[in-house]
Amino acid sequence: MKRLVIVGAGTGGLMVANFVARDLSREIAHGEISVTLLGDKDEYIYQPGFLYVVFDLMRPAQLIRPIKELLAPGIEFVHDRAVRIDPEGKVVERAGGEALHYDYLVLATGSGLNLQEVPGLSEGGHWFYTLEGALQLRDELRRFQGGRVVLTVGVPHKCPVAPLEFTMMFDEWARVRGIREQTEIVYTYPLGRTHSIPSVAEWAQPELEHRGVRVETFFNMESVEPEKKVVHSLEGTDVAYDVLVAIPPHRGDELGAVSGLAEAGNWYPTDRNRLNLNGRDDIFVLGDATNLPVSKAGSVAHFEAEVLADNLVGLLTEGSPPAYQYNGRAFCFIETGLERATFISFDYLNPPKVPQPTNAVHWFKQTYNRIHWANLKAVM
Amino acid sequence: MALEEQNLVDAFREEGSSLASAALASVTPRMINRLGGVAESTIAALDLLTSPDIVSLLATLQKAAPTLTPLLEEVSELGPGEGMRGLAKRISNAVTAGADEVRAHPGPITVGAMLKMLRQDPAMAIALRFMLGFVRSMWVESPK
Ligand SMILES: Cc1cc2nc3c(=O)[nH]c(=O)nc-3n(C[C@H](O)[C@H](O)[C@H](O)COP(=O)(O)OP(=O)(O)OC[C@H]3O[C@@H](n4cnc5c(N)ncnc54)[C@H](O)[C@@H]3O)c2cc1C
Repeated sequence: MKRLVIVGAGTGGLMVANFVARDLSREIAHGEISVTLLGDKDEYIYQPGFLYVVFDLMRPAQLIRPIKELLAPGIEFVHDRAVRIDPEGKVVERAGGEALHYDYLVLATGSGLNLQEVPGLSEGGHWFYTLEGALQLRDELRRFQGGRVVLTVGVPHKCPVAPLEFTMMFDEWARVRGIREQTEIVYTYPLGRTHSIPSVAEWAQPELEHRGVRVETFFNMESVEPEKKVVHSLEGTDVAYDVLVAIPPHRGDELGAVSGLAEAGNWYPTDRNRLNLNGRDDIFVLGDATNLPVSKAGSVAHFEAEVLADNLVGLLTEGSPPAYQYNGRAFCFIETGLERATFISFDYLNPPKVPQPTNAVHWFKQTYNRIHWANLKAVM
Repeated sequence: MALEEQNLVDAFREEGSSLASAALASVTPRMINRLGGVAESTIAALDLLTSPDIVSLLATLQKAAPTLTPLLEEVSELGPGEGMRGLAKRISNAVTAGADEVRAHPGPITVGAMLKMLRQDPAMAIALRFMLGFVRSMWVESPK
């Protein structure tokens, strides 16, 4: 029997598992192939929904589903944490049970917040990058009657357009509540422009200006002084705030570092086209966990999952070498307020253009927020 | 065209094309395959449902419905095995009688008539649901 083990039951892990299990349902039923999904959480959380929770536009219950409900038939789900990988023995050691042996291993362990990197941030700042964080920020905004709201960005971070989305949604939210006049919005960014992608920065600059948002570039968040309510940058500038909304810097799960497979930041060195861990043809990586120069986004995990699943089906059934290649494809919606949105679509070779925001694209995103589950289950 | 109307048309066009380009930019090969699969299943199901055999079976069932309804109601009251053979015989008689009647009075069966039949007759509704379930299990659920 050929054994596929997938570590991480998030967007990328679930999609790969479901694509492969649906394609190889006969082989799984006949005991020729097994698909095991190892995840340290037994619930899946739709992270893009956090942005809406902050503004009371979605409820947490709408973002959470038990993993068991999202699995195609034939997948064995193991609720446990992977603590070490032995690539020579082809084994994944678990925190609370017997090790899992694999023929092919997929690492989809995502990325998490690295709050320690910015002293004072946990105490002095808000973020919407976890459900708890989003709920705390929502409660803060429910009380908010005006003042200076400062947005700071740590790198690297997932969902590259989220800082812009938050800023534009917050601007409109404050207008709708009639408190925009009493509110100053400061958008800071670590580079010399408003976004890492030049065409997005070019589009965003006038959009922010026209909304009356103050922009501070070359602002690399270094530390926060919660008592004084000041955020300091590496460049030596300080900004005082009433509410600090931070996009904390991210890092990969420690599994890679513990196993000696990851590089700085715990990111796995990954082949940009075939998605195998560099130097290994039996271990693959996708989603936020890679070191690839692509956005850490659910859409990227999705596009990669399709390529990876097609290659795994070939490997598991015929042992044929990976034939499908990932081309760096990414797609991101950009909410430009509470009722309009635009999007960017790009790959390794083609940078994005930003079309005019419309209502239709906003509704598309709203629809997607509610049918994401069908994507995860690989039924759409 | 008045200016407001023209603006409205332009706005619609802009909204529509933005939606279409976002959809195109986000669609993946597996989604397209899946859509193809759904289209194929739908066509296969429609093809089967409109085939002469099924149309005549539907007509047969329609004629047999008045007899079938009370018989199907009886099913729920039967214990396991008890009287099943007798019931099966009576159902088969009813269907045969219906089929004879259809042969005696042939006529077209329309989708409208089918829907009307579905709404009015619980036995027909059950039979059709069975059949659609069967078609679904054959074409939609089967691994490709
Ligand atoms: C606020 C916000 C908004 C976003 N908006 C968008 C958006 O609009 N569009 C978009 O495309 N993306 C968006 N994203 C990003 C998107 O959610 C992620 O990029 C995507 O979920 C990455 O998928 P993944 O499979 O790599 O990681 P994840 O989905 O995070 O899954 C990783 C899983 O692995 C588990 N895991 C980690 N280590 C271990 C271990 N050692 N053992 C077992 N299990 C482990 C984790 O618990 C987790 O369940 C947003 C994210 C946030 C936070």
